[in-house]
Amino acid sequence: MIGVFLCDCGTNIAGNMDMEYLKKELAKEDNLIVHESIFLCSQLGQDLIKETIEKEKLDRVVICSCSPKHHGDIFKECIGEKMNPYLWEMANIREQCSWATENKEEATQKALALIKGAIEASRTLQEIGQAKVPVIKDVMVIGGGIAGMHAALEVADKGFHVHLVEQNPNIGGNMCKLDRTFPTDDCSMCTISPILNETAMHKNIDILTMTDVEDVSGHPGEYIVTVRSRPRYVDFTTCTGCGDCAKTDLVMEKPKLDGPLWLDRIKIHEDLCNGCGACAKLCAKQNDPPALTQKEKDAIPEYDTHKCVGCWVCVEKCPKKAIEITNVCPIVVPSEFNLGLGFRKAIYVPDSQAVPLKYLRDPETCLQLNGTMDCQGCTTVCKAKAPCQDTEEVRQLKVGAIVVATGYEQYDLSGTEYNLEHPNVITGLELERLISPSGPTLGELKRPSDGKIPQTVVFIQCAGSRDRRYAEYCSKICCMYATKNARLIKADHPEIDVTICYIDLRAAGRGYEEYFDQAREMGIRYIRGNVSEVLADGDQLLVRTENTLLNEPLLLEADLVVLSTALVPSQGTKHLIETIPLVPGKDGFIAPVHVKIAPVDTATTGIFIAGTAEAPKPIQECITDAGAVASRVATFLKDDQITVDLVTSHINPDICIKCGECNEICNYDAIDTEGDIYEVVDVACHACGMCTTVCPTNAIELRYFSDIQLEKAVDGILEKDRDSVIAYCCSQCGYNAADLAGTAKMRYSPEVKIVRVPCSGRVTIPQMLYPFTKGAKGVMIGACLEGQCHYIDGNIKEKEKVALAKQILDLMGIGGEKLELFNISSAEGAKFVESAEKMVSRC
Amino acid sequence: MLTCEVTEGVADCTSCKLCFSTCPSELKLEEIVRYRRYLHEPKGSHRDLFRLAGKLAAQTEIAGWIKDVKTNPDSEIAYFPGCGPVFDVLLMRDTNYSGAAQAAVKVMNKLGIEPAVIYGCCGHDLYYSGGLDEFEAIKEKIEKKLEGKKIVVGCAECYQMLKNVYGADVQHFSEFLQEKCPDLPSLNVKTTFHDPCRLGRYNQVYDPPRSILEKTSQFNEMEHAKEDAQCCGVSSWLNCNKESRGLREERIREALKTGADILVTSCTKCGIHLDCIFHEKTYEGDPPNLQIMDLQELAGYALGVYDPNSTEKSFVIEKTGSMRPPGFDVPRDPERHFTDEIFENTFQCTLCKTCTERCPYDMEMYKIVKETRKDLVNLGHFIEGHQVMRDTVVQSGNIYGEERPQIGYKKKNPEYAVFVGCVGTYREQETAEKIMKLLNELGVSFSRIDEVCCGGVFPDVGFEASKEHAQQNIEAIKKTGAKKLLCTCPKCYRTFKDDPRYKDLGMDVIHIIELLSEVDFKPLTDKKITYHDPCDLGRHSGIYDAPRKILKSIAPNFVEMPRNRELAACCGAGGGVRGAYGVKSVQIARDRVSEADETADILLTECFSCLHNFKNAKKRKQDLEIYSLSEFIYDNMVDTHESS
Amino acid sequence: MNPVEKAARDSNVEKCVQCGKCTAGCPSGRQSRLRTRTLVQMAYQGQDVTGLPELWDCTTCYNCAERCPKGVNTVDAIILLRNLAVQKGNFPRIHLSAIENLYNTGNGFPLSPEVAQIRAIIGLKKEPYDVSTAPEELEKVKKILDITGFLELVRGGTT
Repeated sequence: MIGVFLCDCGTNIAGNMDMEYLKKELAKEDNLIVHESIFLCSQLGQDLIKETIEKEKLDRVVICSCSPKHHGDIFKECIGEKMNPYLWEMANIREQCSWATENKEEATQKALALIKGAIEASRTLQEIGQAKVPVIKDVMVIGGGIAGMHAALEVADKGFHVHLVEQNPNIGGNMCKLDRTFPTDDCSMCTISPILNETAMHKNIDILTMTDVEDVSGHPGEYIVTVRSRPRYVDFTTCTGCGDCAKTDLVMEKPKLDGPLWLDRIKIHEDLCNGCGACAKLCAKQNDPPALTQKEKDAIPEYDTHKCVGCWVCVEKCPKKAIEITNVCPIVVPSEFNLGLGFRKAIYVPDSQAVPLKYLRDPETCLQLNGTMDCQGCTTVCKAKAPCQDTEEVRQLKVGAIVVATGYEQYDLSGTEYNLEHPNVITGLELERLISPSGPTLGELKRPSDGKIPQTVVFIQCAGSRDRRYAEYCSKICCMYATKNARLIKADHPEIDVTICYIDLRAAGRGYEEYFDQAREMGIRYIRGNVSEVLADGDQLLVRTENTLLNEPLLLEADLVVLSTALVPSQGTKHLIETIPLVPGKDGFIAPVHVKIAPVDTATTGIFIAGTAEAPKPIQECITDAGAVASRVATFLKDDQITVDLVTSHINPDICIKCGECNEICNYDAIDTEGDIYEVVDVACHACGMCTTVCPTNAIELRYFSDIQLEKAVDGILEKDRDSVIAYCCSQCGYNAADLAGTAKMRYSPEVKIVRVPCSGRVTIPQMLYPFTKGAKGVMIGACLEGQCHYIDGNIKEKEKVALAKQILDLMGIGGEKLELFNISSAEGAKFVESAEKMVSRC
Repeated sequence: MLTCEVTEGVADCTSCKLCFSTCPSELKLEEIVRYRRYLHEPKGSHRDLFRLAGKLAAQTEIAGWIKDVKTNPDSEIAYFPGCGPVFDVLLMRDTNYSGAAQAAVKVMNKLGIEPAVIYGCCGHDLYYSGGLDEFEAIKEKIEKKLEGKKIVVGCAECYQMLKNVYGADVQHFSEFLQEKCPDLPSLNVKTTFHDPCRLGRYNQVYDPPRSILEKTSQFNEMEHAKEDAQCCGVSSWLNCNKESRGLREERIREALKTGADILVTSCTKCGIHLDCIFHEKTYEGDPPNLQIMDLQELAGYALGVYDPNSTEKSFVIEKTGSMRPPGFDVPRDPERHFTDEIFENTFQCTLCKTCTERCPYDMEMYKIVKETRKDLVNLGHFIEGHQVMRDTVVQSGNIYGEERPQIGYKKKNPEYAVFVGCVGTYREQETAEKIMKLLNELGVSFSRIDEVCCGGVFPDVGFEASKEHAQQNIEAIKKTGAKKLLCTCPKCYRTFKDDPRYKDLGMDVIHIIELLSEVDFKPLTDKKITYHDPCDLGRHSGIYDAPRKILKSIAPNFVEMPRNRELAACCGAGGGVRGAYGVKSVQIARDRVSEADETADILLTECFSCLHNFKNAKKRKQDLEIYSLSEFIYDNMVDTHESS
Repeated sequence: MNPVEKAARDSNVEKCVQCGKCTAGCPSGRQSRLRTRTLVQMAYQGQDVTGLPELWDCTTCYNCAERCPKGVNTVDAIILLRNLAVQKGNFPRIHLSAIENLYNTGNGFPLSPEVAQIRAIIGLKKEPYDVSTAPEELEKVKKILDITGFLELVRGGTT
């Protein structure tokens, strides 16, 4: 027995609809009970529904009232008290009938068709249960920058165990490289240092440095992450970080190395040496070829560092103590941490304040590891005997949720008009290192070409940002950090002429505008004009720009040019996008599932994003993200099991031929193809239904929006009114737009009758053709705007299907124009009306 | 009111007609399937995509689509191209199944013929998948277009439809080409040919395609060819599944074995299905080094007018009309498509299950027959004799309407309750009596119950069996206090085992042959003995070894008939056929008796029905002796019996 | 939409953020009054720039368009503006001689005796094969120019 409940909605429905006629017509149906209520959503209305279900032993309920988007949940809950909460359908006779149709008679007839559709569809409904999925309470945070560390701490403080994975030897990310931070000008390292230590010492966090994520499998609540840790070649536990191994006497006059160097390991103090030759003899005895040779008696021995293996026998045995170790490790290469400025040894820590402060050896340049010689320099010197032969380690970790905080890097502007090849053209991050007290110049601003203090510095904004050729978006933080650096230079050296060339100054934030005001007061020159090119005359740089406010082209001379380079997704971010099914935005950063209402959720359930992996943003926003992510993770993992309503796709294993088409089209990795049978991972399924459209054997079916349900809805509508255009509207946009049109009392032809689908991508070609076989006038599909599909790309995929179905309609002589897909956003009620009218006029 | 649900597997049948050759009644089982699909329309694979396209075609006019050919609407010769572009478009693959039609017309052009082209859907898929009402609309339209034309068609499905369902003047493209162009240039390729069932087993067009292939290429036959050709696995887009894919792979393996480069066929559906392998991820390993080609494409290729390797599509869809389909809304009426042929085919089945053995899908066709009978009975189409039998059983408790005889062999708390069944109790009493004595001789503890008809036959002929009788039997059996039920009749045995009316019986049910096979017998005869597997014991219950174990010990001269075990021929008595179609039933039995007569001196079996029918069928001049196996043991054991 | 606006619209001008990169890199602007950014923007805002002499200072080197971060076709816009200027009769008289040359010889910059001499020295034919050496072709060129009304247009309103 089906209970049909008509709502008057005061006069909202009943005022423009013949309720008596509806009741009379519906009474002609078998196995039906019809009730009317003035306000069905009121307590009285709900009681009526509940009483009727009980009294009449209803097995299906059809609510004829407003949009399911409006009161759907209320009715679901109400019905759910008495029966399975999925055994009911809703006919939207308010937004789509009484409000959308001027003529009362037409509104009534349309309502009757929609109600009939709902009745027929309701007969096909099945009970839908719930599934419980066990949850692993561990969390993986990928990326140990400020966002990742903060997320890890927040999650760990909530009692979950965190694996913090970092590809670099130390945590802290780019923030460790900054000198000071805007808008407070406090020392970046001083800010981050306590966080570094807290992260390192937290009992719920284990840090995996030098580790890459290789693969993610499993499902929300139980992800299996394969991680590969590269060897440090220095024992992690015994290394004390004392730095004896990296001892050096190298002093650089300019901050940039001209190339890798091979330094002398020892220095022979000629004033102390008596030319006894003991060292050369010992060296010759121990090493072949010897590094120390004595050409003639009493002469000071000659030293060849390329032959010296660092056995230190000469140092130990020199009776006069005339030999001193200057460089335990002779190999010097540019420092990655300092972005190519400054240097490090083949055995090194990235930074003296690195956490963990554990040395590592670089197998590319270490003489022992790359096989150049049997070098014993560091091994002999180290009191802890930490240098060792390591191997990489591959592990599988099980976690319930994953936080991606893989950060950004700078756009590589080499080969462009900015002349980045010139040593004195540097990026913003390089400047941070040049003015950082822990940087290669110990905080002294020296230009890389000759180490002189520049007298004119020009900052170039939007270098790569807001540019169709490089990064089309605004990198958000550059206006602020360039100003910050300009201020720091000006504060230290008021004599330096500092200019910032900008397009627009974007300074929305607490204290930002004031920060600018101060900068101007300090004498920093702001020129509103983009830079066309950077030219060089030897060490001298020339910057072409226009002072757009004065309408004058300018040629600025500069000793140092600083590019405020665009921020782009880091290599790690790109790698993860390929490894985990994360969805990149057009900009290449990881797109959140919804930019406004779910900013830290990704399309994959149980995987969240924080920080600049999502988009360029300042530190405070990274911290906000981290807090938000921790809260989302905690919510997700709070119970031992995740309960999901099984309004998901389901595979019938008897019919499934394991062709994998569903897996291919699924945007959420929700099909488990590992086992003997293919199964839908219910927690991962977003119920868009796209998988059902590609299954050749009809083995997969979306519960609640099944083929037969949609087919019967169409049957019911067409039975009452064949002069219909069936409008499949997606729940996310098309349907909402129609609601909006109704709410705004925009009128459109009653011929257009809506059948709700979860996503336009759910509509199969058969579903497009079916209404025509039943005599419908046309078929339209209301989908989200391109690029805004709530299920990522359902509307794009649907577009292809529509094109094919149009060809068939043309071949059949019906005409492809009678089928159309319209991209309509939630907010575009008028566009829905326009599309509906267009369709009606065509059919 | 139809009561049956869609039978499992009803969508599987490809109507390939392989079963026809083994069916003892020579039934057109595909006709039953066709009707059944009309009663309970199954959904097609690919979300019913192609059947829906067919339904659209029923209401619309298909526009012209063959590209770059010369045609003349007034020509007497017409070409019927089929549905190429529908498949090319809707399969969403980079295919050119339309190429076959283009090639055919180009060949015709080359031969100086500018044919009229009749566009449209022949309705094959609707016809065979249950869309009979829509099909009628198609038929009406196409018939008008075909009027007065000599039709050339290249698709086997279209051929079958136009020739046999429409009755049009049709030539298959191969026949046409053979006639118009006896000399064909030869290509340097190796080919083999897959006989489409619609062309082969339905219409016996075997040689014309071969003659073309032999002229144009090095042609080699596959292991299964002509009448015996394996099924491609698909029909009417109903059954994309593991089996259909397996069949296709099997067929391709067979083709590869011939060393061919090109597997030629002459059916769009076969072509598409075989070709699917190249478009699917499920196929393991590299795609086979084989090209699937339509015969028309090959002919066009040989004559230099068509390039089968071109990637260009052979069709162009132009917007030609803007009609609105009226909408098809004919309520399903089982009577509308009911014919005498369907009735005969349905009720002449002996339910012997031989067809399952030949069916590429191992379909249990007998179940579909049974359910169709049930539906037909509900519609008022039944064999009167069956209804009389039912009434008789209701009144008298047995199928013969006779007074229940006094029976002995009663015992308290025996191990076995014995159920003899109607044939043994009322028609083969002597045999039944001997079996009881044999059981006594063997020292079996049993009690024969006061039975009423088990009712097993009624669902077989479409009627409902009496629940009261079942209850009566259960009570009688339980009253004896026996632990197990021993049946002497295989049909009763199956009924007690499988019929839901007996699910409360709560004890093991065994057939006497199972019991006897546990006894060690000494040799009892030197004569040549053979054994007929009753379908109820053999194919339906899988009991093959038990009787043979006994036979080998009692008769050293035991020999098998040519058709034995799973392939055993039918006795003709089952499924109500003996009552309804006596002549046919005896004919079938005669065939089997002759086979036995040629094999041995004595024919043994262990089913009262088989026994009864064979005895009826045996001709006077045949000196074959026919006994029940247990009866034979008893007869020969009287002097020498020894049991363990 | 007036033709000026249309010209601007066709050149993507609505995307311009006034960054000045075009003007900054403009080789001609360094020597002249040409301010690409301002010129195009004035046109976009509906001002009549067809009378401005700097409209003719652009060498159409495309430096600006190539570097424009927003993809504005500044050069195309300027060419469109020049077309409009010509229609209004606003263009430098100096171009007339080239036009007359084109009409009379089929070549805007016909072969000068000096060039002919140099050609001979380096071993080339004195006169290359072009319209000037093929009088029948020249007639065709004239015919085209007559049909298009080119000559009337340029002769009509020189400034």
